[in-house]
Parts: sequence; C-alpha cells; structure tokens
Amino acid sequence: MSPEEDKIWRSIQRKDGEAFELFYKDHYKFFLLAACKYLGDAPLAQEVVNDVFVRLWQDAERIDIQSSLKSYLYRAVVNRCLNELDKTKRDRQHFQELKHRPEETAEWKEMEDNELKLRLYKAIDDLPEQCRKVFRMSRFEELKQQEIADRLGISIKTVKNHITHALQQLNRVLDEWNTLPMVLALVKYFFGHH
Amino acid sequence: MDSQSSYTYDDLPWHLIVPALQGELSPEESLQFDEWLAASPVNREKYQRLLHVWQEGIADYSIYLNADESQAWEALRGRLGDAPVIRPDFRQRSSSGRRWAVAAALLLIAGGAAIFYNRKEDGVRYETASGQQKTVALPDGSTIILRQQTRLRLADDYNRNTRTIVLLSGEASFDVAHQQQRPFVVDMDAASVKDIGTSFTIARTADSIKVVVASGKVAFTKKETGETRELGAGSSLCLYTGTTHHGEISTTDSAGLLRFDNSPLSDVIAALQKQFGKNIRLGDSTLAQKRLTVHLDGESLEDAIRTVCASLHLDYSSDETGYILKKKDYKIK
Repeated sequence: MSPEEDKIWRSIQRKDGEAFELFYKDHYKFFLLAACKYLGDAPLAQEVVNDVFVRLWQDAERIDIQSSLKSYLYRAVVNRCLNELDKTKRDRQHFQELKHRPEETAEWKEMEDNELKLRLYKAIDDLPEQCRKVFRMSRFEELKQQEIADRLGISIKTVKNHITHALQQLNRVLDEWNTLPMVLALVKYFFGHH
Repeated sequence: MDSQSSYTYDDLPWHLIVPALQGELSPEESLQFDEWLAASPVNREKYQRLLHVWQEGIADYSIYLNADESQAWEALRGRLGDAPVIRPDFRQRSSSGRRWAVAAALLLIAGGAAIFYNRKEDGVRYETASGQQKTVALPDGSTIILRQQTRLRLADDYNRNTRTIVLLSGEASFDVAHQQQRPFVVDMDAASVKDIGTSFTIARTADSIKVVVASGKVAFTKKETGETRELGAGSSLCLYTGTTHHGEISTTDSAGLLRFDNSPLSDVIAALQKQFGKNIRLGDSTLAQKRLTVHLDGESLEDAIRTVCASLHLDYSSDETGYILKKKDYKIK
C-alpha cells in the first residue's frame, strides 16, 4: 500500500467519516464504471459499490489489506458483481462469459483499463464546452459532420476542428498513459503482493 | 477553436484520421489514408489505439456523465446506520443547509425512526409512514406522538411567539406543557384546537376532524362560523369537513373514549393505562401490533382486559405492579 493510501486506510479504520467520504467520492466513478462493465446497469452498479463501501466502513477494524486499498475494493466489487449475476442470471450469455473471476493478471489489466477510461472521460470533461458538445454529437449521437454543423449553425470546418481537437486530447491521454511505466510497475507491484 | 493550429499539434494526419474514425473518408482521402497506414507499423498501432478508444473505450461515457458521487454518497450514508460519520470539524466545513437536511433525514431513517424531517422556510415537518409511530419531544417540554401515516408541521418560530402546529393529515396525540402566555394551538384549516393545559388526540381525515381529550381542557374552534366549544377530560368531538354532513359536529362525553376500531393493541393498552392509571405490559413485544375492534366504555379495568384478551386469544395475569398480557399457554390451561 502506498504511504498515501495507508494514511487514508488508517483514517477509515479510525472511523474518520470525512476521510471516508473523500475517498469514496474520489473513487466512486472508478468503481461504478467497473461494476457497470459486469452488470450493465448503473443503479444496480451503484448498489453494489455502496454494498462494498458499507462493508468496508462497518468491518474496517477487522479487514486486513495486504495489497492496495483500491485493488482490494476492486476485487470486492468484482466479486459482488459476480454474485449479483449469479443471483439474477439476468443475461445468461453475458453471465457465461463473465462468471469466472478474472485471473490475477487479467484483473490487473481490467483495473488498468478502467483507470485509463476514467482519464479519457476526464479529458472529455475538460474540453471547451462547444468542442465537447460537437464531440458528443459526433460520437454518441452518431451524427455526420454536416448534420452537426446544421444543428449548431456553425461551419463544417469548425466541426472538424472541434472533433480533431477532442481526439487530440484523447490521444494525448493515451500517450501519457503509455509513458507511465514506473507508475504501472508500482501498481502491478502493489497489486501482485497479496 | 477555428484555428488551424490544432492540426499541427503533432505529426499525425488528423485530417484523415478524423473522417476515417467517422467513416466519412472520400475515395481520394481513403487512398491517402491507406498509404499512411502502410508506411509504418507505428502509424497502424496509433490508429488502432484511437479506433479502439473511439469505438469501445469511451462507450459508457453516459454512465460516467450521469454518475453523481454526491447523490451516491447520500445513499450510502443512509445505510451506515448510527456510525459516527459526522465529525465535528466536518459539520463546520459544510456550508449547505439543504445537504444537512437530507443527511439528517437519511440518518434518522437509518436509525429506525419513522420520521421525515425537512427544514424549509415554513418550518419543520414530521411525517410517519404506514405502520410506524413516532414521539417528538418539543423544545417547550410538550410531546407529540404521531400515529402511522401522519404529517404535521411546526412553525419555524415555534415556542418563540406562538406554539402553533399544523396537522396536515393523520392522527397525533399531544401532551402539552401549559404556558399561559403562549397557548398551544393545533391548526387544521377548517378548525383549530387550543389547549388549556392538557393531553389530547386529534385524528384528521379527508372529511373529518376528531378530537379526544384525555386530560385537562381544550377549546375547539370551528373556523367557518367561529363557534367555539370547550372539551374536558374524557370527552371527544368530531367535525365533519367532507361534503356529507358538512360542518356538523358530534360530541361524546367521558364514555366513548375507549372505542377502538382496528387499532393496534399498543394503542388500546396506552388508553387503558391512561384511563385507569395502572401499568399494563405485554409478555411479548410482537403482540403490540395485533389489531382489534372493541368498545370498552364503562367497563372496569379487569373486564376491559378480559375483553381484549378474549378478542385476541390472549391470557393475562396480574401482580402488584399491574397486568401482563401474553400468548395463551395451552399446557397450563
């Protein structure tokens, strides 16, 4: 566990509600996206994440975390998702694919992908408003460049520029991510030592 | 954003990559793009990476966008029970009053209290759900017991200039600490009840207001006509506010107090205790929710208890402290 995480974890064990709240809010989206990947249902995913955090809070004194707090919680969320799928068998095919808990290396990869995704989303959040709007219309509403230009009353060239800028920002996140071998090695190190 | 500068951010041919990702390459661009891909495995890798992000990597962005950690936290907090989540320093840091109202509501619910607390400009509201009952201790020493499905409101300045409570619906019993200068008033649109040092119960439905006085005296005022009646201990009054019998008042004196219609045993026992001043206990707390319809007017306490036990198939015993009601023990009988 990193010194920073260790400090947070000790605070939570001491029943420091403020530290717990901050940690929760900082990591909520990370775990929500992870749970959604398994469950495909945001309200259920929130319930699962909250279940895990309720248990963390209530049993904090008895929980012994050998790896990192984040990977401990990630594993707990995944396990809880698998239980949920088992219970509801809501999507048999999906369930078949996912019912085995991921191998350790795959789990680490999943967590890493999830972290990258979060960074990409934060980069989208950070785009200038009009740029973000154009990008969302292009990617999520699947509108053609001309359609976006017509709807927003801007030139097609501006639309292209906005989309280009957005993709460049995402590409920058990818570049940064791939040049973080030290950080990743550390993550792997903490994750690998149970 | 309309500048060309963004195109020169790096050496990638964005003018080809963007339409390629969107499937909008012209035949001519398509050729150029294929050439660029074929030129180097690095190019192919970079494009593949972007294509993956574009197609799958950001597919659940809407979930991220709609995720609200504050809302999720409030939901979580409601489940933490009475854990000491709120630290004193945290309280001072929080600037949002609304957030506190929500948190308080969640904590109260989590603590098992069937009460809804919501501070607005117009005062504090209390609400009970079906099957729940709640006692509210007021700052002036008075007590209100909200029966199930009851809503009432306290003025924000309660106990400063006035002591007014608005009973919006349901049934509540009031045990009032009398204050000469500040009368205790229960307001119900069509009528109001002013205490004169007393305990009483008001049941408000869509078409009636019923007041039962257990001790002391109250003044009941029908607002439409200004007509006022004083009700003493043991008397009750019903004002009809619906379309049938509108405005009619019926009253019952001392007798008529111990009439129960599908009431929980806990209510019946509370009324008997109040009436006779004897302690009545239940051998098993689950009995409290058993319901019964019974008229006990004019009966002695012993007879009343016998009647209650007969209707619920219970046994009772008595000692110097009072009566105990319990489930029938067939082995002894």
